Amino acid sequence: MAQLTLDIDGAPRLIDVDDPDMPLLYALRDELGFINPRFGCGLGQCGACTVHVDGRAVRSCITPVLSVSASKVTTLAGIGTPEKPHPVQKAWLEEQVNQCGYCINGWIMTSVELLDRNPHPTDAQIKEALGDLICRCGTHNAALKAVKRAAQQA
Amino acid sequence: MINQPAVDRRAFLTSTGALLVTLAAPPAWGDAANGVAARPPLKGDKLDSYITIDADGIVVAYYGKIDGGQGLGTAIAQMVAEEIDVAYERVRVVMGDSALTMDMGGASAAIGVSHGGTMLRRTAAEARRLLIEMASQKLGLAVDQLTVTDGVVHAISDTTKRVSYAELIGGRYFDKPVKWNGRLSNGLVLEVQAPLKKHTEFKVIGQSFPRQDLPGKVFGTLEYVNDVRLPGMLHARMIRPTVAGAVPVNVDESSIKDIPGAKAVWIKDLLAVVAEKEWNAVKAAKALKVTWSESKPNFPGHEKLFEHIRKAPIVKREFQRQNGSFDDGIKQAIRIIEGDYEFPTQSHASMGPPCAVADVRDGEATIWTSTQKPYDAAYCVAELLGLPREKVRAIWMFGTGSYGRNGKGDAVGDAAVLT
Repeated sequence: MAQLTLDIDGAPRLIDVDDPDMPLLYALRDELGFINPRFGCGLGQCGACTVHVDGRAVRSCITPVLSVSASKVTTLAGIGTPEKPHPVQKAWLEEQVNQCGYCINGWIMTSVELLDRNPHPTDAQIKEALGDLICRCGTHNAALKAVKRAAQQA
Repeated sequence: MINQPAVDRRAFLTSTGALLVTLAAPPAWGDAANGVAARPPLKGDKLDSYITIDADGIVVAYYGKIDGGQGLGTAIAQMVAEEIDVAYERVRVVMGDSALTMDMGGASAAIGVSHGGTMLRRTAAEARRLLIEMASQKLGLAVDQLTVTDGVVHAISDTTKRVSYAELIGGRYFDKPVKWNGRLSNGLVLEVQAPLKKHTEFKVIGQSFPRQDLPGKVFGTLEYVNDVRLPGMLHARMIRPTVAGAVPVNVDESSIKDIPGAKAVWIKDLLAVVAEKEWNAVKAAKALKVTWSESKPNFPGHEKLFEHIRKAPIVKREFQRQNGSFDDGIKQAIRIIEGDYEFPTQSHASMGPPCAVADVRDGEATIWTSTQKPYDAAYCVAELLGLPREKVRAIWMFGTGSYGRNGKGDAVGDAAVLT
């Protein structure tokens, strides 16, 4: 068993790791009690587990925990709060995007990354950036509106 | 072969393959929150089973259905706020907790508003009527001289003559009857003395309110059933056969001996692995070597599926409602269109795996679940564990959304049996 320090939402977090190949998702959820990244497919195909690693949206269910030991990890709860929401979170609420909300990490974290590198994306660019995400409730069009709203407000 | 371990006094979490164990005391039953003293026992013919008002004047509506992701809690809060005359923000909706809410069937048939909402509207209207009666006594004014504005009963002509709902009953109980038809689930029907408001009087119903559940989802702070963690909990992963009907005949426990804390649990034909750490349970589920029995299920195959369905014997016909006569009606038809219709069998799969947590100890069980049918899940667990129904509490929580029907109820049974 090895000890590993991770930088998560701006704070150092110490964990014991039995297996260096353990995906980051299990470190976040099981070891550290972060409830927002979610297990969807476990194959990196749905996006429910998305977090930022050094600002890039990654699928934590297929990212070995050891690979992020020198990086900054940010979760949905780390990008904004009810008092200080991220513009994308604010837009998500204004558009009332979600239904069950299980997929929300993927959509918001991927949208935040998109707007960081392209503050005024076209519809086609938004659709391309969000194309690998799954929402079983079918909130895709509402998500598109929310990203456009966030881009206008930024 | 493995021994079936003694697993009493433990709680387990399952998730398409998952499980867990606790030794701490379970959370207390009852509703001690919001200054509400222990409620009287849930009875279908008691108003207190459906609506209470806490010490701060917050109206608590007890909704025996659940929200599969459509925001029902918000709609129910609006309906209750409308009838009882408090601001929408002052209604709290408790959903699908078998210790706190009557069995109104969970979710099915898209009748969350039309059935469940209507029943709670009636109880809210009745509560308002009773509160005005109480205020009438207190203020010495006739009922017809009183009205309500946001939880305050006052004289129509003089708003200084007033008394609030919190002052009238906050933290206590109505102890008044409602007329209940004696049925549970989707058949539960209540009648009350108070009339419902006409739609032309609506101020809250019909307005668009932001959903109550979305901030917690958007900021990643709302706990789903997948997030329940109990002290000492074990994670489980179920091991299923690849062919229907196959059962384990040999389990090679040495195949997971190098995975810390991992154990196989084999109860009759049910097989799972458990571990303290979830990742170790995931790894053990992949690594466990199992020999399965031969099974050749007599399935029709896709090409003959509809033929098989057409030939299948009818074992049950159930009429939920019968109005008039089909034969008479069809005779009067101007045009008759006949056709055969086939619809594909599709999975109502959710975004994430089914998940449940069970805590079984001292002849009682508590289960946390996002199933559409928490009451049925509780009855099922009672039967599986040989417990009386009243000793099993199901607590519904948000989970991955529902689309038609899904198998989250299976996870409840798995968790309870493994525990």
